[in-house]
Amino acid sequence: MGTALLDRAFTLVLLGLGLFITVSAWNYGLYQNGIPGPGFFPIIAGLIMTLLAAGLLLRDLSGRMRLAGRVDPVVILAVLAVTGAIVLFVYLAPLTGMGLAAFAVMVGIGYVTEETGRRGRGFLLRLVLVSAGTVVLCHILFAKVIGTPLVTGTLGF
Amino acid sequence: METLALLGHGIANAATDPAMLLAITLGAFVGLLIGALPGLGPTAGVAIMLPVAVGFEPTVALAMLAGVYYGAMFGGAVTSILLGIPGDAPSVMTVLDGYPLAKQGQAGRALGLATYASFIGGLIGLLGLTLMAQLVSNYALMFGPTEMTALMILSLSLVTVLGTDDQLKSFLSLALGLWLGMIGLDQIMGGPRFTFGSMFLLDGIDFSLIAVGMFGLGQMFMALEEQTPEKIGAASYSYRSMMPQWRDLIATRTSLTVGSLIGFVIGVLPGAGATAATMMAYGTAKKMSKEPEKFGRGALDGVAAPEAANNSASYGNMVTLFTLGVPGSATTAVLLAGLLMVGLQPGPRLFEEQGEFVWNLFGTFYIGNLVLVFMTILLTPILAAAIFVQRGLLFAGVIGIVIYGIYGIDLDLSAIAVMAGFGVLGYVMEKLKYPAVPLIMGVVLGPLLELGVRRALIASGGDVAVFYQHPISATLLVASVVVVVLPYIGPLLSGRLRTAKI
Repeated sequence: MGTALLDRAFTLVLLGLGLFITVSAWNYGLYQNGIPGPGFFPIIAGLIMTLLAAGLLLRDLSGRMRLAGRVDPVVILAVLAVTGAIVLFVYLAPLTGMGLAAFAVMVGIGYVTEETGRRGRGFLLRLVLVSAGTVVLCHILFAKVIGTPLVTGTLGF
Repeated sequence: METLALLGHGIANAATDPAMLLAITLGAFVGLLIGALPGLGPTAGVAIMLPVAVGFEPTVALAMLAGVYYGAMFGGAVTSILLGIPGDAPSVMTVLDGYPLAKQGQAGRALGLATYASFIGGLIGLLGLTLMAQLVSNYALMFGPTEMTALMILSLSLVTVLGTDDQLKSFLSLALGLWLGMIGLDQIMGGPRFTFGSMFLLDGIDFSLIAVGMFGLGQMFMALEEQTPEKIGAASYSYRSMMPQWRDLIATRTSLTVGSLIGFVIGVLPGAGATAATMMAYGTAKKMSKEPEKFGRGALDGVAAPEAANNSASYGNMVTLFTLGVPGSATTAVLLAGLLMVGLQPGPRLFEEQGEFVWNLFGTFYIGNLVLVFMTILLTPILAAAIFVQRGLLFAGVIGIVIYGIYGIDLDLSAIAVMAGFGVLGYVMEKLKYPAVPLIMGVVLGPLLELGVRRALIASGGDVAVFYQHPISATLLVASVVVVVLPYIGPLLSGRLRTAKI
């Protein structure tokens, strides 16, 4: 994907968000009983966002300033995979406990984010050890030292 | 004298409390590693450690977070000198002369000088912070709500305008941050705003989720685009060659002093930051040098000035944070979040109401600055090797700590997913050259600014004249307008002057 295309899409999202904030702020009420209401400040942010996003879009369409380059599809996939793995952890943790879920997610994320030519057996072994070590360290730090009640699953951790 | 006594008490407390010493050492160690690792800067380091640190007692938590910040300033020089690869942005200038010195077989000498320059710069910055903090906080006690509001506007203007090539995107980032800060219950009327019916959003989005997501995860996503450096042999050095060489320190005394002073002054200015300070310090040292032609080929002054400057700047950055409650950079914005999360409101009253906390914390900075000299020298081989750590291992470890830490803040698993969302936003914004600092400042200062503006207008019966009737707030508001408008009318004015001369 071209960076300029992503830039345009993001500007459009901001333009839409700006309009949404402006309309919502208007509905919240700019003034109530003669004093600034809940919509007073958001409408400023909304208008600024709308006007600036429109300005950026015009600048982009006129070709005055456009970002060059492309976004590497491999990086996009890795970003999505890491984000997906973190979301998966949120659903997995109540079932398996935080320890097991974190370990699985860390191994997955470590594998996905490593450069393809460097995912040898040695790396996998180190990844498993690092993930297991981090989980143990976090359990000691958060559960024992700080006293955070962690989510535990059927295995008890 | 009273300041000195309070500081002495603070240093003694920090030096004798094992918990504080452990926090300083741990923070400094993490900071050194973060500084040495390319792709992760001090803001990312402090953001990643934030959810971990806030589980501890306030002084210990802040000592750890600040240790990460100033530790990163020390760590960046090691890889810059030994490998020619800057660990973070503030150590880029150190490569210019540090690496040539290493190639000339003087790596130990350059490393030693960088470490002592960092210490001296840090010490001068700390003295500046100690002296100015008390003065500014005393003065700031005169500030009422209108003055504080005007000061926040000036700070946001400076942060948004400085350090960016694209002001449209910078202001857009600020507006997005202001909006994110408004999500949740209205602070005055109490009604929900932009919550979309979600209970999770009623309390607003916790700042730590945004900071860790955008600066921690977002920076890590950016690092996916870079290749891990191929293993190259680091320049050789011995511990003995890193011992203090008084001759070098005396020879570079002017650069050390000037670099430290420039670093502190630039650090105090909101939006400028340590990287700008190193560039100015390097340029000034070169101008003042009797042998400017040596710069870029292994000049000792070229190592001393930027290293002194970036350490001094890190303490200068904290002046407005502690005295006015207004952060001047992304890292201090994350530190502000840390202060708020442990239940402390920075500002002039902090010195009156939490004096012991402030002076103990400042005491930890002095101890930390000294500890870092020994740690940097002892850990140099580890720091030089850290750059080659496989990306997958680093990601796995950091994400593990982050998910436990984020969960620990509110004991809410869904907060982790929200943090991941901000990671993607941080990556997209960085990729599209939207500066993240205005957004983070908008999130932190937005709610305070809104409260200030609305309270002032309620008190004045809706009369906006209240902002320009007070001389301090009027001056600050005029300065804000000048800061925003100057980049546009400046070139126009200079163009007209040139035309008139012709």
